[in-house]
Order: sequence, then C-alpha cells, then structure tokens
Amino acid sequence: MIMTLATGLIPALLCGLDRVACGQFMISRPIVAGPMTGLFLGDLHAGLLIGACLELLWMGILPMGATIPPDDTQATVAGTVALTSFSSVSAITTDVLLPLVILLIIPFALLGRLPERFVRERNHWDLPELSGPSGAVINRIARMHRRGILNFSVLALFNYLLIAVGTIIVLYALPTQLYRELATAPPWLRYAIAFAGSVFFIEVIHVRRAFTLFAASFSMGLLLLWMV
Amino acid sequence: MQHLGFLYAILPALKHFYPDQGFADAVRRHAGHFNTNPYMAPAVIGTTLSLEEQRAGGEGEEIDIADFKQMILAPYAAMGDALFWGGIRPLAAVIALFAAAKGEALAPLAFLLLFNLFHLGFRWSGLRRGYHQGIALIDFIHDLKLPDWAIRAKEATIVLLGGYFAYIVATGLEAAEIPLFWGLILLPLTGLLAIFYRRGGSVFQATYLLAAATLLLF
Repeated sequence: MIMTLATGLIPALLCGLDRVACGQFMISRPIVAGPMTGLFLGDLHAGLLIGACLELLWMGILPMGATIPPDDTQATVAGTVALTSFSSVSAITTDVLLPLVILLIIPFALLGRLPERFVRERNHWDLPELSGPSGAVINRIARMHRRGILNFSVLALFNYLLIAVGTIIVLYALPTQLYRELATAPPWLRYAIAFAGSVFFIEVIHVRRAFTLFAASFSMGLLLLWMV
Repeated sequence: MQHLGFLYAILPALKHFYPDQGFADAVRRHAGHFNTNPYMAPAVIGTTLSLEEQRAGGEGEEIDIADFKQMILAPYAAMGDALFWGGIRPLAAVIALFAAAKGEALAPLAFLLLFNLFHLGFRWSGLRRGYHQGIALIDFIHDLKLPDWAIRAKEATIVLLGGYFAYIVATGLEAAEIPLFWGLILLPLTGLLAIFYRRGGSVFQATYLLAAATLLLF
C-alpha cells in the first residue's frame, strides 16, 4: 500500500506540472494521467477505466479565465492508486470498485481547490532589482520562475496525497457488506457517472442545437447497431 | 501563460536586442500583467519580439508595445480557450474514448497525438509568423476564423459523443439481453439532466443523483 502510494508520486508530479506550470501537453488529462499511473503501478487496465470515466465526467469543466476547476489530474492519479492498491488487498475487482472510487474522490478533488487557490495567490511576484549586468538580472528572474514551478510541484504532490489518502481511508472504513452489494450492482453505475459529465459538456459549450445533434447521433448509432 | 512566464520566455531575446543599454527598460515594459491562452501566447511573443527588435534598431517608436500586448490579450485568450479547451481537446478526447471503450491501450497516445500535433503546429507557426509579420499577425489570426473552427470542433464532438454513448448503451443492453431500442430511454433522461443543469445544478450533484437512482432502480 505505502509503496503504491509512493510510486503514485511520480505521475502525480509529472502530470501535475503539465496541468498549469509546464508544457500543457495534456498528459494531465484523465484519459492520459489514468493509464500513465496504471503503467507505473503495473495495472494499465485500471488506469484506462478510471481515466476514461473521469475524462467524460470532467469534460465540460473548462479552465476558462481565472476559474480554478477541481483538480481532475490528481483525482485521476489518486483514484488509480486507490483503485489498484485497495483492489489488491481486498480481492475486489477494479471493475466493481471503480464507481465507488469515483464517487469518493470527487469531494476530495473539490477540497483540492483550496490549496490551489492559496498557491496561485501566493504565486505573485515583484520585479527584482534590475541593476547590474543583464546576465545577473536574467538569473534573478529565472530563480523566481523556478520558485513558481516549485510551488506548483508541491501543490501537485499535496493534492495527490490529500485525495489518495482520504479515499483509501474511506475505502477501509466502509462496511464489507457494501462491497458485497457492489459486486452484484449493475455495470450501469459507471456509465451513469460518465453520462452526467457528457450532458454537462453539451449544456455548457454553447453550440446551437447541441441536444438535437446529440439525440440524432445517439439514436442513429443505437438504431444502426440494433439493425446490424 | 501568465506574467512571469512571458517575461522569462522573452528574456534571452531582450538580452540579444539590447546588449549595451535599454535592457532594464525592456524588462520593465514586460513586467506587467499578462494572461492569455497558452497556445496563443507564442503568437504574442513573436509579435512582441518583432516590435522590440524594431525599437532596438531605432524604429517603431510610435507603437507602445505594452499597450499593444494588453490590447490583444483578451481576444486571443477568448479565441484560444474556445478553440483549444472547448473544441479540440474534447474532440481528441472523444476519439480516444472510442479506443478506450474497446480496451485499446493506445487510447491515450491517440489523444496526445491528435491534440499536440495541432497545438504544437499552431504554437510554432504563431511564434514564427508573429516574429516575421509583426502586428500584421493580427490580420492573419483574424482571417483564420478560429471561433468558426471552434464551433465546428464542438459540433463534431457532440456527434461523436452521441455515437460513443450509442455504442456503450448497446454493449450494456446486449450483455443484459435487453432489446437495444430500450436504449432510447436515454434521450428523455438527457433532457431532464439538461433542465437540472439549467436550473443551476452542478455536474457533481448530478453524478451523485444518477448514481443513487441507478442503485435504487437496478
């Protein structure tokens, strides 16, 4: 358990930096962060499952302007860690645990906005002393730049640990009866979660006749599959 | 990209343009507020460098570089957010989700390839064109009609999303040996959920409600 939690620190840092501070090549998106964490932990399937589900759930929450969305990146990394570690010690399959883990990480991910707001507010800077050779000025500014990246690194690791440890503690605290019930629960649960996110995306992207497009595409797809 | 990141990115060029004097003034000019979409920022950097180079060579004094930057930040941010965050990223994600639904381990790579090819090309081209064309880049960006492309990408995403859910629902129904046309129940559910969101409901509240309803019904 501790080793799995510690291994998760690597994708948490890499993906956390990509989210805001460095590159933004989107390895921070759930569809990538989940499988990447799964690879580190030796369970790609679990990462792919949780990554796909969280990608749909979070698809409509966009980082427009100065808004701070819940930390979907650390939620995915922590969720994958919680899923694989608890599954290995409890012998409950990742498919059964998946919806429960997602429902548990959401409140912790929302809580993660508080430290993120704190770090962003603290990330202000004042122009350094500009006297002296230009090389020295560049070094001073580069040092401030690196300090900003360090702040976001600490934030990524903090949020990861907050969500992962919180989720794992709750998973242990839940009664075993619940897991027995979950094992017989329908597979619709995870699709219900993904569906909530997708409809939210369609609602917020401001495209005229979005629901008509979705309904037509869904109906056509379903009817075609029925006919084939 | 924000304040210090922008300054840090252009520092080596400023040092090159102002080897003797004027470097500190140039740094002061770019130490103010800066916040735009990260994929549009290279275009601003390229244009800024072009203007700084002209000023260092004794030309272009009539253009206030700081004012110019402030003028284009908000529209570039709006265009970039709509196109990259609201358009291309969800489109690439839904395509990758199809692969993930089939258990394809390369799904994340498909997402990274689709998204990064586009934005890296745009970043590189923005930087180069901004540097070579200067403020004429504004016309070029305008002619690209990025908001129209954003709408097209969003429409394509919705159509693919509909197809994705058709596949997911059909797979689930087949496994439960239920006739596929029952899946059309999802349509009124979509409408109800949309009404819930329009009345201020959040995606997370909807998630818990749907999960509870699923557990109760099945």
